[in-house]
Amino acid sequence: MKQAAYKIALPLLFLALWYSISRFGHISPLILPDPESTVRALISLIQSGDLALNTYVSLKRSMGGFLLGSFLGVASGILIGWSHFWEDFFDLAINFVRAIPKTALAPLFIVWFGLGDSAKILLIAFSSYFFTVIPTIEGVKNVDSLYVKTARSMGANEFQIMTSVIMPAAMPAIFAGLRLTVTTALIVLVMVEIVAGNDGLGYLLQEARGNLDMAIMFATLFALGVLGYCLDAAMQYLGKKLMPWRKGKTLSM
Amino acid sequence: MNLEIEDLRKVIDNRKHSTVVLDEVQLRIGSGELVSIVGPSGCGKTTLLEIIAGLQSKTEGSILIDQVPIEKSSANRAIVFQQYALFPWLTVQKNIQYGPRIRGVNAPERNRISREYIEMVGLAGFESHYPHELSGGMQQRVALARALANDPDILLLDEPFAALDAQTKENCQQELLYLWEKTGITILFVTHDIGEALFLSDRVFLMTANPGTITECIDVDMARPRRHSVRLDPGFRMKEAQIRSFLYNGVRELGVDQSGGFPVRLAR
Ligand SMILES: Nc1ncnc2c1ncn2[C@@H]1O[C@H](COP(=O)(O)OP(=O)(O)OP(=O)(O)O)[C@@H](O)[C@H]1O
Ligand SMILES: [Mg+2]
Repeated sequence: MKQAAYKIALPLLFLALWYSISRFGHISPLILPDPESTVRALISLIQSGDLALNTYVSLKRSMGGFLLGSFLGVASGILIGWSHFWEDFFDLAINFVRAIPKTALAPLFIVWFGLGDSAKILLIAFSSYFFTVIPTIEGVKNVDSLYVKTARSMGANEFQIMTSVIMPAAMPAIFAGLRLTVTTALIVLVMVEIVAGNDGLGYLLQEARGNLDMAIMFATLFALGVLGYCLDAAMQYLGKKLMPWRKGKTLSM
Repeated sequence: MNLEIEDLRKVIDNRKHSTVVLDEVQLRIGSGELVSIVGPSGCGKTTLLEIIAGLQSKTEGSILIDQVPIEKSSANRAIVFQQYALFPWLTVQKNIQYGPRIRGVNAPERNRISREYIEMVGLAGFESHYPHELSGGMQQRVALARALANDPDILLLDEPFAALDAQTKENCQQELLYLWEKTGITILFVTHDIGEALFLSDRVFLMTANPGTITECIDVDMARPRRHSVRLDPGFRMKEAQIRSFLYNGVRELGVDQSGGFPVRLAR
């Protein structure tokens, strides 16, 4: 109980600061809306169904792209980390393309795939791929060779070593990568919706700017924050479920 | 199960130079024997075990098991590493069941096997613990049980007790003898510890470095079952001194100061 109070202290402080600045700071609501109108805007977004609809659209795009990209990232990362043959084959290509900021590819993807969902999902998938493949490769390469030797000495074949040793041993590294990837999927999503959207949370932001409706903008930002937080929490939960052995293994006392 | 090694040679090639790690290694172990290899650090003990286990290739020579040359690794030759190498993502029970699972043994049979070996190494009640929740001695016993659960013909142990404190080490040695007598398995035991080698073994092989080779074989004709009190026995003490002098002589020939206790490495 005491801990919960401690945890919300900082957010409450922010809220109080926001309230007093917007109330006593003589700042135009075109720059900074006050908390009440932001809450009112949020309620109106919820009641009209706009929030649910646009969140759904955004979630569909980001998750579609994330799942596609990270699946390919993990699968190929395991292969690349495991065999020198594939590592040398992919090394230059991956490191070169990885160096291009993925947002810079938005115009290209729009030209190639149009203004619809496919360009957005593919761009998110593309960036998700690179954010998962690197930690997966590292995770696989860092698997202690003693585990592999132990499994091999007990008669495991290469496929069994891959599934029963490499994958679980690399799982913590892969999961750390996936958690980061979810966050970056949202970044790319919002960017591409701002540039080329007619729905979605990024589009709501862009529309609010056009209408000079800062309360809607703040309400949407809040919704994006909630969405990102929930996705991260879901990933953490999944990580705990998939890696029960990590529970209670911590560096802090 | 008979193990015969003839003229084994192992050369490791690096980019810059090649090292002769093992040369002219001869070794014969009869079925059900427990023999040790004692030698200084870096003389190639781990390399030798890994070659026998099929985890490293040999350069020359032959390794026969029951007159048949070994090929790649196989479930009938189990190895336990000094660092235990328990799978941290598996519970004690699942670690022990790993070998049988790989071989496609069904679940009820796997459970029976793991129960038997958990019982044998005295870890009942810890089935669902993860390795990091166990002490070093317990982890070592899980590693032994995991190797035995595969029902191997020969057990290759690489300094299995080196990381344990003196008392835990003595308990583990006693337990190993008990397991060996119970299962009738052949054991090749690698250690730095002369006393440990003598206490456990039927025979002790001495190894020297640069290149790693087996120089002596010492018979240990002390009655079994052995208890730790045999370490005080004059015969035991004499053998210990004998081995020590063999190892020191090796050092003296190489012109290294012999006063500093057990040589860490026989540098040439
Ligand atoms: N990959 C490698 N490349 C070059 N030299 C190697 C390689 N692996 C081992 N060696 C050399 O082989 C020798 C034997 O190594 P090994 O690990 O078998 O020794 P050991 O007797 O087990 O030593 P310790 O008692 O310290 O465990 C060492 O001198 C080492 O430098
Ligand atoms: Mg070694």
